[in-house]
Parts: sequence; structure tokens; C-alpha cells
Amino acid sequence: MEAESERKKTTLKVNGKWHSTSAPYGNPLLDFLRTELGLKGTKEGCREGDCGACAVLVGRPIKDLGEASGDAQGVVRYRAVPSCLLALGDVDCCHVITIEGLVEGAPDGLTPVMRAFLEENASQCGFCTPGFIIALSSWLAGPGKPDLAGAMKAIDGNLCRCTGYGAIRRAAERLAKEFGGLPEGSGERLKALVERQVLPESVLGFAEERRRRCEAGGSSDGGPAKAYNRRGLAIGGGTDYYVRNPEPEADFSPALLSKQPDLAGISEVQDEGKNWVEAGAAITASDFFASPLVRRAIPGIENFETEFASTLIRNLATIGGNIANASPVGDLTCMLMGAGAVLVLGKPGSTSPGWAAAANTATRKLPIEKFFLGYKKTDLQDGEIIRAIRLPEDRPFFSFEKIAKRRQLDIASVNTAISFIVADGYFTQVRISAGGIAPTPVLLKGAASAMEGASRNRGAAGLAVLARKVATTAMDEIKPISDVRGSAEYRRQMLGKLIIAHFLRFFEDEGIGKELFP
Amino acid sequence: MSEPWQEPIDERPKEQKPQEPRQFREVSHSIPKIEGKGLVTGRPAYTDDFAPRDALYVALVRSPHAFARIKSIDASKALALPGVACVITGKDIVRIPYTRAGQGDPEPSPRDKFILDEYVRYVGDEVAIVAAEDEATARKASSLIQVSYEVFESVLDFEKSIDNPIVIHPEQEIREMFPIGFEPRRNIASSYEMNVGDVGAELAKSDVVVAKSFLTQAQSHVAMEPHTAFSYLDLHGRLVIYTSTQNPFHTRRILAQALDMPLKDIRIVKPRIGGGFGSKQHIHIEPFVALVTLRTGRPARLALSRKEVFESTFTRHQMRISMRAGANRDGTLNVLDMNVLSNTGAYGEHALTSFMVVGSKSLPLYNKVKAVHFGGNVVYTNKVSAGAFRGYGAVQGNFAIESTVDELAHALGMDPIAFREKNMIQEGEKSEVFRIMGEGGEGVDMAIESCKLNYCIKRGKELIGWDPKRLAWESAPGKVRAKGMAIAMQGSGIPLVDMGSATLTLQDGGWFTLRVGATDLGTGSDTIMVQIAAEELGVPFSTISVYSSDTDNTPFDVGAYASSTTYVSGNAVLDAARKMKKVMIDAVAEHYGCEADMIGFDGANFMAEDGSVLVSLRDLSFDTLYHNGEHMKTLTATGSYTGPKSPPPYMAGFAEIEVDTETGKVDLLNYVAVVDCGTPINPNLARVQAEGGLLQGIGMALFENVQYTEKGRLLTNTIMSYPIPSREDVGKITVELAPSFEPSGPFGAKSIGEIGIDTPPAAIANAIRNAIGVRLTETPFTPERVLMAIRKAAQGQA
Ligand SMILES: Cc1cc2nc3c(=O)[nH]c(=O)nc-3n(C[C@H](O)[C@H](O)[C@H](O)COP(=O)(O)OP(=O)(O)OC[C@H]3O[C@@H](n4cnc5c(N)ncnc54)[C@H](O)[C@@H]3O)c2cc1C
Ligand code: FES
Ligand code: FES
Repeated sequence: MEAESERKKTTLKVNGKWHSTSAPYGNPLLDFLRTELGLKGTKEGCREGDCGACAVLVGRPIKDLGEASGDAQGVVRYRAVPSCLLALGDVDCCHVITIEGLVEGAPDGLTPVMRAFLEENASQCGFCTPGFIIALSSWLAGPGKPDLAGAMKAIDGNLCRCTGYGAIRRAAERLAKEFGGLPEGSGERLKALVERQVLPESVLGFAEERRRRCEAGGSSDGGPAKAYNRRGLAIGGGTDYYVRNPEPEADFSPALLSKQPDLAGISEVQDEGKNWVEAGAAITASDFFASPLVRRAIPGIENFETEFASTLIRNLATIGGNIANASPVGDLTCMLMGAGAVLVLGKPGSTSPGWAAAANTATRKLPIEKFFLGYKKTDLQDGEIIRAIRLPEDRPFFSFEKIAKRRQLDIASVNTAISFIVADGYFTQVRISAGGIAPTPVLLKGAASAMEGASRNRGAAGLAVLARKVATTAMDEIKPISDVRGSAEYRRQMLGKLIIAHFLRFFEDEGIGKELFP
Repeated sequence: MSEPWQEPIDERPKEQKPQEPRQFREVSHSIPKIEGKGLVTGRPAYTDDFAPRDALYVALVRSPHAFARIKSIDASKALALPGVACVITGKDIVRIPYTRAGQGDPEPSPRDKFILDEYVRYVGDEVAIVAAEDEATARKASSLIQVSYEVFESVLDFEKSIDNPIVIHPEQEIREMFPIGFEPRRNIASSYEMNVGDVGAELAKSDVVVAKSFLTQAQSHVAMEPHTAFSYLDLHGRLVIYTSTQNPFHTRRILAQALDMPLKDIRIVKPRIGGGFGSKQHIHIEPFVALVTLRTGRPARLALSRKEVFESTFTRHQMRISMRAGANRDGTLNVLDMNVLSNTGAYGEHALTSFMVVGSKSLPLYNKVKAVHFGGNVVYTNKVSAGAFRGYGAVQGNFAIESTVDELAHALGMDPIAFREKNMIQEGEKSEVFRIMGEGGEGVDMAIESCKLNYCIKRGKELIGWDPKRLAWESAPGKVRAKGMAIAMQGSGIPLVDMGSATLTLQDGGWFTLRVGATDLGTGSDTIMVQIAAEELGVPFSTISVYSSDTDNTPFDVGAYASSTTYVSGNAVLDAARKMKKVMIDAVAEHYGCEADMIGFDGANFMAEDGSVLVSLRDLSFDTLYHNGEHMKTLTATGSYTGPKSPPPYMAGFAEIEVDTETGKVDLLNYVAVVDCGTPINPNLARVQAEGGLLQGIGMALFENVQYTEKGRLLTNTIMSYPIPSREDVGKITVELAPSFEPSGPFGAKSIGEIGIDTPPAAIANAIRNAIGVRLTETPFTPERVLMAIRKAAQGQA
């Protein structure tokens, strides 16, 4: 036991070189890179996840990510994440590539992404540039075929105050043309990217080196987290935690849930005679939205992915973290509540020999709407964490809406989600959630019952009447507050509009628009 | 091959041809930035990348109160913490009033700030300086310092500041350096009035009069690199400061004054800056590192956190602008009357200058009016100070004037463009305002030698598809699309105030060093300075190496602000290059014993009149440095420039928006800007300048807004709570440069640094007016405000 309480070493590969460090594992990776390693290319613009100047590529073996897929064995996946919100311990046994590392080995000292930036004059002051280049390199690493829309999505968490983004877009257009034909499979993709110098050669040996250093009695089985959790504080992606505590104390030693394989899977389970999709709480938002099982359980949820944070944040933020954070405007929480999710709560697992044993610990289930007790207060008992989120598999209709100041990447002032079933021509099991109108995310029971049992086949005019009725009921049942993001009256109005928008989304084809806005 | 900026301009009207048909070799080409490769590969470039490893970390204790007196400071707990090197409070330093505004001498801003004072005047004001071995210790120590305050009531509403019983600056020592209307007892930092003709009579005679009051918000710069500096003592014991500043020479002068040190003992170096936009035209961090280094003898480093950048650097001046304007039925604009109240926050940096620009960079657009009045006050409040911000004053003034002019066109039933075209300034004309109003003093009487506003408007109309009969239409249920436009002008440096210099030196091997005091703040000015020098010398771009912004090693320049660099510093480089050519030719003439005016230079060789090569540039460089015996010397030339005038660049900006009449949300679908910046020295860089400026103006128009609690604490102190535009926030931006040539500029160039920000607030407001029939007079146009305006209009009709 004594040995475990000693400070753990973190072993990681940064660019072409392995490091083993006893630097505090709870401190942000950014500080380790800039201060300890003197890699100054990674910039600090905000330390709050907003600007993307600190982005680095992190490579993790796919099998560690929970969703073991046949071809993926041994393949490492590279994703851009903000290093200012990432615990050093989180990248134990991972491969970190900074802007300096991207060019290692490139003959003219430039990668194609850099060349596109240079030729389009896409850096003005240049402070944001390394982050954009990392984010675009991550886009080329996949998933999916590289196209312009994908590139634009990949940089939605990178801010540039100088250029107005025009030149950056032109650089991305160039790249989309140049790399449209990259192979899809993760293994071949990685090889092609190294061949074409988008990624450095140091990615090739990584999987093998890791096996030697980390798996053979190394620090990795179950991650370094086994010695963690002394303080009872667990963090998921850290995207809320580090924003609130940008400079943690030197001995900050939280439990790193993302290092826990049993919190990182997505699978089907049967319970109470129903089929559920169960997602581990430490699944990142990116993986959640990409999961075929999740997409099956909540049809169309992928359309709302970009309503939540940015690519950089989604690559790091966990779904459990969004719920546990208990923000009144948490977007994932709102979606999950609308979809009828049930939480699986339990201990994070005992200490040694590792997290896998945790599966045996007692758990309890709680509908998500019962989880929130008051402003930022939850039903989590001492030492308990959210272990998983269950989604019912029988709800074919789902929609989400959000209002924010900026078009994207902004905290909502009001959000809402809805799901229902149509049985025998009637709406039933209607659930409507809303955020930003009370101290916690809430279910709108009145609005839901206004819709419950109404007939589906009532024509556009009838649907419009129903939409208005549901919206007015919702507006009447809430007591919003005023703050920077909007006044109480505005929030009330907006909730009404958003509920109308749900109906528009579902029934636009039937001409409800003309009825609602004559 | 035509340059990309020219491509979209297919039909160029004859009279708009550049007056100078000359083909340029280096200038007017989109050469990639010299430092481009270094930037994309993430090479160390910015101040913090170079901070010495053994530097002490500096942290500041800041006031939690909007207005208070410090009763006592107990630093004993902090000092007891291992690793703490020193704590400095107001008691430890000489109390000298100074201004943090990076301006010339004497400063037009009042000296009303102390590095550390007994009073704190806004939440975030500096109370004490702490230095420690590492960052965590410095932060911890600053939290252990106990300060007891006598808290006063504060003035937060700037419209209630004048003659408020609460006086923000009661102290005796503060002063103005020359008359700027400074009345601290009345909470007035500065005031100004000017008048031409009889405004009252002209208003009475006008067929149509529009009177409106506008309110513009404070805006934060949010340059991506936070303010950063480090300092150390060099071998000679001199204080060296590396800092993210836009004006190294002003920083040196002001720091010497504030610290009561000889100027000679300070050297300021500016590495690369991660964006400025005016935010780094101030002295925000340098005094603190300097004091720590002077006290401890050790290197010291300070990088503000993002929160500190929001809370303790500057914002744009918030302004109330009351406009009256009158016109005749035939569309003749008769009179403009502008009364302004500006909020300078706790200290008066740029109070007068930003104020005057409200009028001086907007009123001359309509130079044919028979009467014009401009005046008002700049007042103190207990809020974050306002300072320089790209387009300062001009963007506020533009919003007020271009909204008012638009409203007049509506009242007259005229196409807003036709109304503008009838009244706006034209090439060859003058404006009384140019003569009367400068920046902080009198202006210069100048005639406009280049003004392509007609072209900008014509081309912009084509690009946006302007049809005066169809400026708004319903695009979908609950959605209205609309178009609106505005025109704008800026300046190119401050005439007879701004000065820049450059030194060219021939090095062995036949290449040149170009040393400029000009400050590249990310704009690419280092690159265009080389382009200008290469063009004039006739040598390839690659044979000139540029070094900028180091007070020991580069000649004087006021710095990067007021859209001065291309025009003022560029003219200085041109002057240096002309002189350099002469110096070289004289050296050849001396050596070969011939007349200087017989010698030619083609960029590689010096030739006799008959075309025979006398000596190559390379050989000349070796000859003068190694071979010429007693005639050996360094061939070098320094040029300087100060503008007798400040030729304005012009722009026409067009917005196409979609208003969601249910939520009040305004989406910007398309923004077209056609700019007359004279010859673009580097079209690609110029275009990116304009695009970046536009997006900042769009942010100001649509959502950026500095907000406080009732106690004066800043609410918008993170990028999350103060969102700046992301690439999603605008559908499409099209920028074109008008063919233009400014005779007084280097190779015909004017400026482009600021003008981009000017038109969006007015153009978008004008589009909203067309969409919903209501004039929004308060920026930003948030969904909530737009929706309330729609509601009010509906109620008005009912
Ligand atoms: C730039 C930026 C943009 C953002 N945009 C959005 C947005 O659009 N919408 C939105 O809703 N949110 C947004 N967020 C907030 C944040 O990203 C999300 O709330 C995210 O899901 C939090 O997950 P995490 O794993 O990073 O949380 P962490 O920071 O790791 O944890 C948050 C809190 O929850 C606790 N916790 C974490 N996991 C568990 C668990 N399994 N069980 C119990 N407790 C746990 C932690 O102790 C901590 O107190 C944004 C954040 C940033 C920085
Ligand atoms: S520093 Fe801005 S996102 Fe990390
Ligand atoms: S180039 Fe300056 S922030 Fe992007």
C-alpha cells in the first residue's frame, strides 16, 4: 500500500521520444509540454478549452477505447484534444504529438497541412496556427472521408481573432482536394498519412513500443489510475473540472475515469424485459455520437452532435461528466433526459488490483431526471460515480433544440429535447426535457401530458394547434431566471419557440410550417 | 498573370485605372510572409517562448472592489512562504502619475494612473506585486496577502458620471500634459467642441430631419496571445524587457518616466506578437516585471491569465452618440450634428484621441454639408479602462452616421445608395473637418488625392446583387432576408505626429539588413517593408533581411497603431532605400572616379553610362568593407517619414442577413466589402487584414458585449462568457480591393489595418431596418433586442 501512495510515474511518448516523469499527474499536459519539455509550439491562449491554441494530437490504441472492432486490434487512433484541460496522467502510455513533432522527418520541414497554411497566408499573428494545424491533421486522421465540411467541423474549437477565417478556409479547401482519396480503414489510413507526411514516422513504431514499455508489467493495466482516487475526486475528460480549477495544486491526484476500461464500453443489455444500450460514463462525446448502437437507440442524435461544444472538446469530454456536472444547461444531459436515459450509479471500483474488479461492486439505477436535486446538487452518494448511462431502445422520434448567443460552440441559454412513440396513431410516452429555465435540467411534465394521447393523424392544421398547445403549456409551467445569457422573459419565449421548432422538424413535410406562420 | 485580388474585378471602368500604370516587381505581389514557415512549424516566436528558465514568476494582487482606499496591506504570510522572492506595494515605490496609453510626447491622455496607488478604481486594479520561484507559489502568495479596504460607493453608469458627488480622481498630482478639457473634479477626463456654420438654422431649413440617439457597447480585444513580458539586467546593468507591445519606443519613454529612470537604462524588445488590435498599445505589464527585476536583480516573467486580460487590460470606449441630420427633398444633405458621451472607465487612456476620431473619421464622408457640429465629454467610471481598439472612435462614429444617413434616405423615400452617392466625398475634394480636427489637436488641411468610393459602391452592388426595390423579402415561414450597406473611411497614420524610420545597411556578400522601428503585430508588416525596400533598390526580395522593434537596435518609430505602418513606416523605408541607392552609387563613383549621375544600378551590378559593368553589388560590398584601404566604410542609410497628411482608405460594406422573426436571431449570410487602400503592397496580406477586421466588426454588431454585475465586477471574463466569432458565425465574406493609387503613399499605398472593422455595425443595422422596419440603435443586435424591437413595432401597429 505504501508504495502505491507514492507519486506515480507517467510514461508517455512525446513526438519521437519516450519520457517517464514524476511530474504531478493531475496537472494539465500543456504545462508539462511547455515548462518541462520546453516545447513552446503548443500555445496557451485561454486555459479554458475555448481557443484551441493548445491542441495536441493524442494517440491511443483503439482496443483501450472500449469499442473493440475486429480490424482495429493494435491500431492507434490519433485525435486532437486541448492540452490545457487534459490531465498528464490521462496520456499515460499514449503518444502525444505536438506541432514540433509533426515535422520530424518531413524533408522540407513542412507537412502538407503546414504547406497549405503557408501558401494561403492563413496565419496572421500565427498564435492560433499550431492549434489549427493539429486540428486539421486530426481531421485527416479520420474518421470518415476528408471533405471540406469535415474540415470545418474539425476546427470548430479553434478560434482565430486575426484572419476572419477566410484564408484558413481556403487552406482547408486545398487539403480537402488533395486528400479526398485517403483510404478509410484505420490501419491503412495511418500508413497513408505517414507516407504522405501528414503524420510523422514516430507513429509507426508506437504500438509496438507501447507493448514493450507499458503492457509487460508496465504501468498500464487499468491505467495509472489504480493508485489514484485518494481524494475521492473523479474526473472524466476534465473539460469542466479544469475550467473551474485552471491551476490545480501540485499534488492534485484525482481518479482518472477515462483510464478505466470498464467505463468505456458501449453494449446492449436487457433489463426489466426491455432492450437498452448501455454506454460507459467515460465514453467521450465524440465516441458517443459516432456509436452505431447509440444512433440506433436515439435515431437522428448524430445530427445534434455539433450543437455540443467543439470537436476538440468532444474528443475529451465524457458523457458522465456532462451529467455529473449538473449544469442547468448541459446539452448532453438535456438530450439524454429527453431520450429517457437511466443512470447506473456505483462505486468507481475498489483500489487494486485494478478497475476491472469494479464490475462486481453494487450498483443502483436511477432515471436521469431524479438525479438532479438542486442547483449543481445531485443524488450522488459519497464515493459513488456514474458508471453508465442506459438508453431505451424503443423510441423512434427524437429532436433537440438550443439557443445560444453565437451560432455554435456556445453554452446554451435555453435547450430542450423531446422523444415519443407513435402507437396506433396516437402520441404516447412523450418526454420533453428543458434546460436553462430552472436550477437543474427538468422534465416538462405538463407539456408532455398536453401531447400524450393526442392523435397523430390530425393534419397540418391540427398538428400546428397541438404544437402551440404544448408550447404554451411549457411556457406556463416554468419559472426561469435572468442572467448574462438572457432575461427570464426571453427564456420563456425561447422555450416556446424551441418547442414549436421540434414540431417543425418532425412535421415540416406535412406543411405544418404554413400553418404555424401563416 | 493577374493577382488573385484582381481576378474578380472583370470590368474596370476607364476613369478608375490607377494613375500610375507602372508595373511593380516586388510590390503588389502576394509574397508569403517571411516568417510564415517559422509560424506554421511552431518555432519559438512569442515573448513567453523566450522567457529565461530561471525567471521569477510575477503575480498581481488585484482589487475586488470597484472603488476603495487601501487601509493596510499585510504581506507577512506571503513572505513566509518558501520560494517567495518579494512583495512590492505602493509604499515601496515612488508615486508618479503616468498614463498607460502608448502615445507620443507629450501624451494627449491625462497622467492619472500610478503603478500602485492607495486607491483602487475598478475591480481588477493593481494592489501589490508578488514574485516567486514558480507560478504556483506566486499565485498562492498573492492569495495570502491580506488587504483591508475602505470601500466607497462607485460610479458605474457613465451617463450619470458628470458632476456625480462621487469623484473618482480626487488626487492632486494628476494632470493633463496640454489642454484636453481635463476636469477630474467633475469626473471628466476630456472634452472637445467644434462647429462649422449654423447647425440650428440648417436644421430648421431642412425638409426632413432625423434625430436619433445611439449606444455602442464596450468590446474586448481578445488577442489570442495574452499580454506577456519578461525582464532582466544585462551585463551593463541595464534593464532589458521583452514584451508583447505595439510600441516599444513609447513603452521605453513612458516606463522611464513612471519609474523615474534614465531612458538610457532601458531597452525594450518586441518579439512576435500574438495579435494586438490596440490592446498592446499600452503599458500593462512592463512596470511590474521591471520593478521585480530592479528589486531582486533577477529575471522576472509575467503572463496575464485570460481572465486578467479581460479584467485588467482595456476595452473599446462605450459611447452614447446623439445625432441630428437634415436634408432637402431633392436629397441634399444639409447638416450633421453629433453629440457624444464616451466612457473611459477608471483611467483616461486615449480619452481625447478616441473621442475626436468619432467625428474626424466619419463626418468628412459627407463633406458638402453646410453646417456641422461635433462635441461632448469623455467621463470616468469605476469600470475597466477603455483604450485603443482597432478603429477606435471611427467604428462608433460610423455606426451613428451611417445609421442616421440611412434613416434620412428612408424618410426621403430614396435608395440609400443614391442618397449617399449624391452627398459623399469625392476625389480632389476637401473637408473643413480635416483642417479643424486632428487626433488630440488641430488637423491638417488636405485634399483627397485618391478616393474610389464610387467604384467600391458600384462593385459592391454587383457582388451583393443590390436592388433598391427588393431590399427585404420573406425567405421562409418566420424568416426575413434583407440587405443593408454602409460606407466608411479611416486614416493612414496621424499627420505630423507619427514618425517612422528605417535603416538599410549593405553587408558583405551583397545583401542588406533592414532595421525598422515599425512593429509587426501579426499584420505582415516586416514582409511588406522588405517588399518596399526591394522594389526601390531594385534587388530581389530574398536579399534583404529585416529586423524590427528593438529600441537599442532599430531606429525610432512610434509603433503600430492609427493605421500608420504601411503609409508612415513604409514611406520611411522608401526614403531609406532611395538614400541607400545614392550612398552606394556615390561609393562607386568615388572609387571609379566618375560622376554619380552617370552610374546605373540594375539590382546586381553598377554600370557606366555605356552599359559596361563597373562593379557588382557583391564586389562593392567586399570592397567597401575589406579592400578599399583608407576608403573602407559601412554603406548605410537611414530614412524617416512623417506624413504631412493622412490619406483615408475607403470602403463600402454590404450585409445580407436573415432575421428569424420568432427568435429575433440575426444570421449574417453574406458580407461584401470593397476597399480602396491604394496600392496593396501585398494583396493577400491586405485581404486577410480586411477579412479579420470585418469579423471583429461583425462580432461587435451581433454579440460581443462587455457586461458587469451591479457591483462592477466583470461578468464577461472568459471566452465562454465573452464569445468572439468562430468560423461559423458568418456565412460568406467577400473582400475585393479597388484599383487605386495614392500619390503620397509608398508606391501608391494607403492603409488597411483598421478600416475593415468600421462598416459591419451600421451595414447590419441598416439591413435589420430593412428586414423588420425598426431601427436598432444599440449594439450588439442580440436576438433578445431584435425580438423586443419586433414586438414593439407590432404593438405600435396594433
Ligand atoms: C470550450 C467548451 C465548450 C463547452 N461546450 C459545452 C456545450 O456546448 N454544452 C455543454 O453541455 N457543455 C459544454 N461544455 C462543458 C463540458 O465540456 C461538458 O459538461 C462535458 O461533458 C464534461 O465532461 P468531462 O468528462 O470533461 O467532465 P469533468 O470535467 O471530467 O467532470 C465534471 C464534473 O463531474 C464529475 N464527474 C465526471 N465524471 C463523473 C462520473 N462518471 N461520475 C461522477 N462524477 C463525475 C467530476 O468530478 C467533475 O466535478 C463545454 C466546455 C468547454 C471547455
Ligand atoms: S489554451 Fe485555449 S483551449 Fe487550451
Ligand atoms: S492568426 Fe492571430 S489568432 Fe489566428
